[in-house]
Amino acid sequence: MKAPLEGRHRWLTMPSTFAVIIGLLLAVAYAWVAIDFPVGTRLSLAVVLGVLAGVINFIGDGFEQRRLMPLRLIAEGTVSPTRPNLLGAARAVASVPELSFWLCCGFIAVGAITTAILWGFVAEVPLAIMLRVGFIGLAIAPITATLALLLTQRRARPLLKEIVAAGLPSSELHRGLPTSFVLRQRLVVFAAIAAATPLLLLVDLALARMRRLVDVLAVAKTESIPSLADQQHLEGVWPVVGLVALVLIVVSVSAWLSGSSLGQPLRELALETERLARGEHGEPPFIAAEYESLAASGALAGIETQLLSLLTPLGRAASSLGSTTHQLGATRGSSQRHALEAANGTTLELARSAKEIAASAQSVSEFARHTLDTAQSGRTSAEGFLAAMREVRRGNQAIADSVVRLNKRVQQVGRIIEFIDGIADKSDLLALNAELEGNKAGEVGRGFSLVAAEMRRLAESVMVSTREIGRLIEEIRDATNAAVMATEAGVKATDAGAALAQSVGAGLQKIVEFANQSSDAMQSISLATSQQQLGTDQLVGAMAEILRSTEASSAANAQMKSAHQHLLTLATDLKGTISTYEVRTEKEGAP
Amino acid sequence: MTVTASDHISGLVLCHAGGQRLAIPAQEVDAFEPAGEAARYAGAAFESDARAPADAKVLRHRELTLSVDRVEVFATPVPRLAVPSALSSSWGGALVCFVECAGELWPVVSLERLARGDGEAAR
Amino acid sequence: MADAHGHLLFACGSSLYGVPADTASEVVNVPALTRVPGAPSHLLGVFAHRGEVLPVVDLSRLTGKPLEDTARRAVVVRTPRGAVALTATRVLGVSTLEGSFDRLGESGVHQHLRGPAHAEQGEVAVIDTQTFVEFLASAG
Repeated sequence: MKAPLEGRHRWLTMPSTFAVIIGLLLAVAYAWVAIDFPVGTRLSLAVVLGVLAGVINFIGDGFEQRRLMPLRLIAEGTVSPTRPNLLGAARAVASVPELSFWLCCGFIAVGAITTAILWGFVAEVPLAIMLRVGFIGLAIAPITATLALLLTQRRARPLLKEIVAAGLPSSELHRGLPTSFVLRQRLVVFAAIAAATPLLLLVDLALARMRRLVDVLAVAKTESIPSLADQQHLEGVWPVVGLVALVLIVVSVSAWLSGSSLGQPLRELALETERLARGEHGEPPFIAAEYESLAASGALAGIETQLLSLLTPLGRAASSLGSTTHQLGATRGSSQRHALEAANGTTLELARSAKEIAASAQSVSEFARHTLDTAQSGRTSAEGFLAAMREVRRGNQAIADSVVRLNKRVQQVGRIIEFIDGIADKSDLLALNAELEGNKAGEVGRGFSLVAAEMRRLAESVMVSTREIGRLIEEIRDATNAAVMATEAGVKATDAGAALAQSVGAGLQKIVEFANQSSDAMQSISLATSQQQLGTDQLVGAMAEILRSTEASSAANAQMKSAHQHLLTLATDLKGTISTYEVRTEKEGAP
Repeated sequence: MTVTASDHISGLVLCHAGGQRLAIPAQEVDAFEPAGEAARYAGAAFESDARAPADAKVLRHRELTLSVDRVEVFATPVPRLAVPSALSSSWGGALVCFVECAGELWPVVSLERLARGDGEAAR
Repeated sequence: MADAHGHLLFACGSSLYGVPADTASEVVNVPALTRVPGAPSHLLGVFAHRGEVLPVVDLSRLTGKPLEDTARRAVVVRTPRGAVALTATRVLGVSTLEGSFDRLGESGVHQHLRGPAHAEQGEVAVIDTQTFVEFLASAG
């Protein structure tokens, strides 16, 4: 298993190195644009700068690591993670962001000056350029340091929570961490840095460019001045724009980091306060923060702790009160009381039986109502069935009507077919006689006979068709007759069903009436018994009252005294607790 | 084809017997009599097992009596229609002719001939 | 017997009959018949046709094979001895017959039927109309 907090000391200081690199890049980029380096001096500057930056960062990191020694010892298992050890580590962690700031600030400033001097000697550059290199270092230092502070802070907070998780109670951590109310100063300083850094660099850049232009113009011929100015102007625009953008990005990132570093703990605090307001109190969680926010977080944790410590004695007091009262109640004595107790028992018994009767009446009433509901729903069903039956009957009637209509039509068709059949028959007869006559006429009538024979065949085929149609009509007539009979039977059946449903509905209606009556009766019984019950309850109350007053007179004084003593102790207890709470909240609430 | 003395015949007693029709020349009917046991039933000439109803009418011609279901008298002269050869000897040659009355064809039976036929049969 | 003008063929029940076309005057629908008192059973009745009373003869009863239902049509045969209508369940038309035309029997109606002759539709009994009508008159 991985040891808790292992490697965290390195993890914590990484952002400061990152900030230094960012600062260095910013400085180099600026120098490249803003300074007119003599030929061949850039490489020497880069070498000197690289070496010095490495050395300085190494030294600075060494400082930080030394500060984080308690954390490192725990992480490496050299010391056990006891509360004091963890508290030491937490203090170290909490102080690292500020340390990073000062280290960055100091070392970059020193480094810049050293670089300028060293480089000046090595590359034999003019003093003005040396000074400018130093100036750039000094200008970049504060913003770099601020970046280091904010980034380190972002890592220090979760690390503090890890320390709490490793076994350091948050209340202890709150007490152990030094509280400083310097948020306002810090914000002012940061605003100054964020505003001054770009301002300084831009002013320097503007001056440098003006100087270069003057130099160029001093040696230029009069007629080439406009073109030279244009050329200078064009040369300088894009690097400058890029540079300004870079500076602005760094400053914006710093501003965003600062804002979120302030907002995050405040949000957590708000949530925790809400939780407390809902009455969900327990071991308060640690809210990592700095300055005023840290103080507020500590105060909140204190409130929660105090509330917790208050609840325990309150609970104890309540249970003591209960037992004392019980003792008071348990004191009983005289013969009079016995008689009263007996009477009281009787009335109690009376009250109980009245209650039972009332309950029985109630349940019977319930049952009657239930029957009523059932019967009512049955009646509704019967009505529904009746309606359905009527619907079916209507449907059947409609079918029967349609079938009758169909039958009429079929009969009409039958008559038409008979007519056609008659015509065909007559045609057949005529053709037959024509054939006969034609035949008698011999050769002359031969053609006539042939035509007549053809006509006969036609008439015969018509008759065959009409016979077939007649047969079909007979079939249809049979089928429709059967359908009419079936629908009539259906109508009769639905009539019978409807009559049945009607009688069922009527029966259910009677049941509903009976159930209604019985429900009413039961309700009045229930009401009467309830009233009786009320009377007996009052009687029981009166008896109890009498009993209590008797008890009061015969209660033991000693018992009362001891009870009184108990209550006094409890009162003192509670007062002490509450006063502590008030004092602490006052102390922690005022900054 | 039987050719008769006159083309027309007038005065007929139209009879219904056993659901069938027959006509008798009016001059041959001596009297209408109430139903009697002895009377011969004209319906039996169509269907041998036909029986005269209780309210049958009896027509008398001399000795001969013929009972029918009901009678009506038709006075208008109507053309005689010849009896086909195939029927010339029917009912002992009593069939005289056919007439068309009230849109229907009626066989005209002579009671005289019927009586004669009976007499011939008895001989 | 010569078959100069062909024969009018008709069915009565399951039997096919033929009459010489020149003796067949026409084919009619059988109307409501008037029963004739004392007439033999094969004489179904009479009807008035073109001012003439025609007796309707049922060949099926005459040959001893009575029909189940009444025939709708009748073939009117005219001879010097008179006219008769022969019931027909179906009239097939005029056809030329082949085969023999000998008497089919020695008694009753059969002596007036000849054959066996053949037509497309089957075997036909040809009615000797002259003698047939005479036979009816004697039988009636």
